[in-house]
Amino acid sequence: MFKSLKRKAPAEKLLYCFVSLVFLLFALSYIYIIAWTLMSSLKTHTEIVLDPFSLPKVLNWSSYSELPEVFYVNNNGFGQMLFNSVWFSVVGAFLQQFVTIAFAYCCSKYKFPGSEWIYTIVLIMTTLPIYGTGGATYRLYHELGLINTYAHVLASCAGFNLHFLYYRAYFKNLSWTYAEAAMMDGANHFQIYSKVMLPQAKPLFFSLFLTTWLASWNNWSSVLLYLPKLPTLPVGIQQFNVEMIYKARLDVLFAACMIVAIPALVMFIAFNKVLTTSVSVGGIKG
Amino acid sequence: MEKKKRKFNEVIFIICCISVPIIQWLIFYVYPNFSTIFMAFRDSQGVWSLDNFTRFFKELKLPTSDIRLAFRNTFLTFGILFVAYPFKVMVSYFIYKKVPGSGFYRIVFFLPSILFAVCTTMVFSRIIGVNGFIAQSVGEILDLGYTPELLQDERFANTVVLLEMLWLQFPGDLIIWGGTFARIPEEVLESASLDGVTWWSEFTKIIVPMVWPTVALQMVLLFCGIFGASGNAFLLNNGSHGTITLSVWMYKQVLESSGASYTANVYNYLSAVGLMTTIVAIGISIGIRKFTDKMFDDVEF
Amino acid sequence: MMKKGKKYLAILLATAMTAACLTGCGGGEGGNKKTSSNKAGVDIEIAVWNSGIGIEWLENVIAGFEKKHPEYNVTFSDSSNIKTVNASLGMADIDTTDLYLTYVSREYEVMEPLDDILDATADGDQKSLKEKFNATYLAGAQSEDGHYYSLTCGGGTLGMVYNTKMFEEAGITQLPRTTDELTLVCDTLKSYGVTPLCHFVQGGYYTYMTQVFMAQYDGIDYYTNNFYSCKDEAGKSPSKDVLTKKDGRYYALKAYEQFITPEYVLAGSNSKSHTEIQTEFLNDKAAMMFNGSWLSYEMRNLGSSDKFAVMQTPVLSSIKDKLSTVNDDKLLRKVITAVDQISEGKKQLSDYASGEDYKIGDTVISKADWEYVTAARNTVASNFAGQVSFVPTYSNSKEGAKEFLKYMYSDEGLKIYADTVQNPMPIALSTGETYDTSKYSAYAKQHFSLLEQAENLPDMHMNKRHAIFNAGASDFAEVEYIFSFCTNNAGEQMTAEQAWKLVIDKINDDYETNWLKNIK
Repeated sequence: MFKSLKRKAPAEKLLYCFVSLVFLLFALSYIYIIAWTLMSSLKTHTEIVLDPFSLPKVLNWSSYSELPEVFYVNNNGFGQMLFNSVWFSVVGAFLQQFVTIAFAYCCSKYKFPGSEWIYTIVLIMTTLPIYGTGGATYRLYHELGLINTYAHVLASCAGFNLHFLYYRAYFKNLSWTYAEAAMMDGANHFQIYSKVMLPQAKPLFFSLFLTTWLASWNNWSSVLLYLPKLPTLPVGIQQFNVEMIYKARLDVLFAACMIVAIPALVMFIAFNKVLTTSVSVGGIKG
Repeated sequence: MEKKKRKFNEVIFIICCISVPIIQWLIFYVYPNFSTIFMAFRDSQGVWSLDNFTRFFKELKLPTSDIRLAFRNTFLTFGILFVAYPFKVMVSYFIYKKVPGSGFYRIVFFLPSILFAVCTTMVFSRIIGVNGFIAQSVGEILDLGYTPELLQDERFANTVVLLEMLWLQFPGDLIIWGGTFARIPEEVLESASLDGVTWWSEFTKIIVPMVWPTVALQMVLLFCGIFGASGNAFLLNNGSHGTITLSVWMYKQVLESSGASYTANVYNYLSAVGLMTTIVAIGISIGIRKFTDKMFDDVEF
Repeated sequence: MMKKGKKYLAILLATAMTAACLTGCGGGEGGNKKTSSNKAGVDIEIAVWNSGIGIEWLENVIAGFEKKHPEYNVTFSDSSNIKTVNASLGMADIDTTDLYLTYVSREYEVMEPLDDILDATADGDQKSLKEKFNATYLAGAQSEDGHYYSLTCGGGTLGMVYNTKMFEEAGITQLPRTTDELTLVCDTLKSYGVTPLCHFVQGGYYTYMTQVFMAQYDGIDYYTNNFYSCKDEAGKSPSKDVLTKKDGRYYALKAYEQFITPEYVLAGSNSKSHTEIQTEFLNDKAAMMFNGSWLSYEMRNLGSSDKFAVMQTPVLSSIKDKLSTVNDDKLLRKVITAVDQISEGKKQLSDYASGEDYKIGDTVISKADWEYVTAARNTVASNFAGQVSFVPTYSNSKEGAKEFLKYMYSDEGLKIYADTVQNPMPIALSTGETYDTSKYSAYAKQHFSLLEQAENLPDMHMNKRHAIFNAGASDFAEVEYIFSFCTNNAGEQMTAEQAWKLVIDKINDDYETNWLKNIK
């Protein structure tokens, strides 16, 4: 653990230890959130209210076993909300990445009328957010009948976004020689893309997919607006908390929190390395 | 013949790749943006008018209006994020430099972005509640004689929202910075350390210049998003007690008039406020680009 | 090796999630959208707000109805969020609901008049529904055009709920009869080390207390026919003068200022959630909480509520302004005691009679004053119109929905409701007998008798209220002012005078520019 310190000057060692100590405090505080949630999910409702910081007197597993029965919001049971979450996060993230990568590939490797414009537009769009369009967007969704429907996921087929820039940069730097070789062998453009180019972008695709998935798995704001009748788990939890007026089950609330947190935690611990190393913006000046 | 077929195949391929994103963009980006402009100039009866703008400027002058407060807090939040920015980069840097326990931090520091905000805010507001030691210590340190309700008290609420934001954002953008630092060629640093370069000059003379393009880009993005700067005020206390920011205000406008009342004039007013804000944001964006012109040129995607 | 492991992990997780979804879907459908078997018949779709009284009662009423009317097929969907329940209301092309059981106000253009249901006598009943209804409730339920578009199907009575054990320990034997006395009781409790009050500030239950104070001060007629009808003495409506008049709202604020103070209110009352505060209240953290008849049903999984009792909302001490012969609070309390003894049957009105007037001890109280105090004392806080039934005009099954309502409001249906939630309704049984509350909790029984003795039921949600109250003019003595009385932060504290000034300023700012324009 302290190997990295060996070759350093004493002042530097001191600095590193100090930094590490500060980091430790933050790290512990983050772990405490999960620990507190877990602990609360194993207490009774009354214990959570009266002694929010004490350990459970008896482990109360009923918060988990009764969760399917108690935790339901706007006609959506736990299973239904889980389905909504998976649908909007997995299908949504996949559609978005699928559309974006093809779009970026096409713009970086092919010339067609307007292909250079697209890059400029995306660059402006990502650096210049337009404010106050929430009302117009809500009306649009309403008029298209995309409120409270699974088809809402279609709105995620976006290609004009930051990830476009990542993919474009990636493909720009990717040599075209393989493609030419494949073309010699008679491959068409679809085959070149799917058999030659796409496989090379797999790590980038995967890590961007994962970040998009995570963002929408945890997303509450747009779901609360557009899909109140098809709540995903985070919105279900938020609503359950608000509607707790009529139910005294904080234990179930925190049990649900644990259930939402676990898939995200597992994915990140498993793929931490890929995520932290495969994306870069702005490049390196060497 | 073969060439023609190839060309045809290419056109089909291009159409397949670009049609969906372009249609999506026209419907979900271009259309609402234009209709925002139209909505901004309509009154509650749907008649063309400048009412929304007069109201906006009137409210902006009113010392007690939500809008004024929202702008104030948004700038404050932005200022804090700006000051905190270098520290957040340092976090990734020290993890890259392998401070003791960096393997552990590399994972744990992802927690704030992995855990969903609904949960973290719920837990956070209970931890700082009147039964917790934080609120009690505040009461004792300030010698109040009672335990303050931090989120429901103008004296503390905004500070608490900002601190919560800083606390959760402390690790910064680990993905971006982890990737950037990982790309620094190891030989460069090794030769530097053989030359006996101190930590500080290594950081300022080697590291910073190398990652400068990323810094510049992030700075531009930060400045362009200035009006979106916000903590979790909506989830923490619904933007009450002086914590409202512009993005919380805008979100609440949409949410509260959603459902059957989606045609309400609220959306027209929101559009007008948004339009004015966007105009200022364009100004800032052009300014900052002029200012960082040199930097921005270096950015390569 | 590691890489392979991760791959498997990802696949495993994905499979588990998909599997969970598939099973969940099935379970979700069956578990929450209560659908009876697919038998042939007319479908009735109900959208119900799952409020403090839950939906179990509806399930029971539906069971009873379907037994009697096998030709109907009743299904319902519920949400605890009123906004979600009402989300499609008025959108005739997509809304398939035949009957709403929710809170909504003045959406008359999409509501079917229910006059025929009121005039009808249900199967097995001896009187029409109109005759069964509490007269004050019904007066408020009538809209300006004379029709009844919605009728109560929830809500309840409210009062100051108190912890009998804590009152006993502090030696309080006399329940507070006036607001001044309530402040004294708070003081006594405080000196015994007991926190007197708790509340959930966002919940706005004090709004219902304000309604009682307004009706007590100005009289129920003024409350209904002038204030909430926004009509001045000359008959002009809407009238700004009515809104800016220094009426019961002002004196309610004056009373709150006395007892809703940082010293008396439980710490955390301004920040904790409703359920947390109620849980603390049920666990002896404070002695009183203004709450409703649904409390025990709502918190049923936290055990018995036997140590709790409800007291009638105290009389606003300021009503002395309106009395000529009662001018100090002690005397007012004596009159109230006398009034209570009469309504409890312990004394007769004639016991106090003295010629035209009345007499307590040696003090003469004018007839007018006596009647004023009696009316004030028998004013009970309620929010029955806070959850109402109505049939949308575009329903495909209007007859079915009305048939269902008839059953729901029949003696049989009402008994099912009362037995399930132990919550009163302002509707008497047609036989003239009272509800059999013998098996109910003591707390529920008290609410049933509270309603029985009620002469006046002020209810801010009533249909009679003027459209201006739906155009923004609703928040007069609510949350922010209550908060300002009990916050510890001197910077945000307000006196009643300052709060009232804000109310008036708001009216002056918004009356012409916003509210009048917003009236549909």
